[in-house]
Amino acid sequence: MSELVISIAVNVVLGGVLAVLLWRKRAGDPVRLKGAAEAVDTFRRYFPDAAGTATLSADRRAALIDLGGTIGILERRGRRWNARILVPSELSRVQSERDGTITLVFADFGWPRARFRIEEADARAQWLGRLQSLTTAASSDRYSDLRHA
Amino acid sequence: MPDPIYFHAATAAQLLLLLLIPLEILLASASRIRAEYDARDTLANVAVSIGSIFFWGTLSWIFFTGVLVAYEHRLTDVPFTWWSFCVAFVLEDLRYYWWHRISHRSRWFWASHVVHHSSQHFNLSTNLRQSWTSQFSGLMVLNVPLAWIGFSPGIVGLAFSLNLLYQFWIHTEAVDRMPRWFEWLLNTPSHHRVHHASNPRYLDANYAGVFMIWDRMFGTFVPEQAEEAARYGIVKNLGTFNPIRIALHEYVGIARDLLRPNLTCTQRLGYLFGPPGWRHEGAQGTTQALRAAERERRLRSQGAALAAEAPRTRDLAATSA
Repeated sequence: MSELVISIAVNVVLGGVLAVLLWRKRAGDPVRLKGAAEAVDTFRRYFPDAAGTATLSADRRAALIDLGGTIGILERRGRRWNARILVPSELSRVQSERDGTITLVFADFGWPRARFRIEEADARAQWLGRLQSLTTAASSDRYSDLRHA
Repeated sequence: MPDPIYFHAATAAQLLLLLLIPLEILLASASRIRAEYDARDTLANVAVSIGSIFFWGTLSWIFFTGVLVAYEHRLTDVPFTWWSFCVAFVLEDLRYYWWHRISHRSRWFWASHVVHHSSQHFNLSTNLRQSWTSQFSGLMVLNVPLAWIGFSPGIVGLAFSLNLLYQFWIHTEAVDRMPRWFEWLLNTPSHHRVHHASNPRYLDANYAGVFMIWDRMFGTFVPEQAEEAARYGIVKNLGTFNPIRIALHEYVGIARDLLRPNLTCTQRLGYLFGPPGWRHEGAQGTTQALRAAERERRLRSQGAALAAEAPRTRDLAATSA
């Protein structure tokens, strides 16, 4: 029992040390998308067959990608990108916030939500419409032909 | 029975190895070695580690009960000597290989092990991201044969600890390649980068704990390729640093799939024990399917390159004629 307590205590201390160290050494994550083309290129690292047009979020750390029949999302998490193709049954709801943020709430315990702040009102309204239509789409699973790499 | 001092030494060594994590951060920030840390990812690793230690500590009786019961019914008595320990260590590594391979190939066991692979970073702190549920996934049964043969629970436990201890240093990008003989025989950072990668060609490979010979023998060895850098993480990466979500997400996914309406019993078993990514509509998320798609893509691009090359070759031939 004492070994268990010691091991947990050591990990708590380690967590504190690492938090301080990373906070002091951290330069932040400077990565921002330069443009729509870079967003699509980044998305293609995960889905090499993807082709489409991207709309960047205001902070340039996320993008919604129109893939024709389907929608792709790209989001910066820490120092890595996360990419998905939206499947209607995995999208629980779409919320529109006052500051222009579109929040996607997923039925995925491992990726609960993604946020995209889109400044341009027309583009935002268009995306909101498309995303909301996904949640009301047929509840049956629909999988894209695009394969993950 | 090994002296308890060995166990204390193994525990102390584990705790000392943790000091290498801040050292790796400091050296990387001074650009002395290659390592990438993200604060939230690293702290999530520590939080998951605390949960893992708690569950391991409170449920380790499952491990010890299985081993003790098997030892009571042992075939023979193996004394604790240097040679018997060497044999136990090699056999324990074989046990680890199969434990690891099953953990990747069947979703129920993957749900426990996926935790360790869920970070998109690969550094010494990735060691800390360990399963909370390894004691009751059922694979602890693989520890039984060694004790049943006649190796004492102490030897089994010590071999188990040392095997895990060895694996600490291989979670790093700071070491490129070891000498050739070393790379052939033992698990190294290069081999383990492949194991943690989600690129189709690297998926489900290099399961060894210490000795790479098991992968070479059983056909699961894949070398690291200079032209394809490892992309760490899982096929569907997590969008959270919450330790509870990290530890349990695949179980929730299994439950959701099992509760789908209109599935046959076989389909439900497929969602529970089938390979990760298996779906009843078509297994396009499995390693096999991802590799096939990747091969198809490579062939297509090679075909396109050859087609582009052909007119140029014809022109050259015409010119030289």
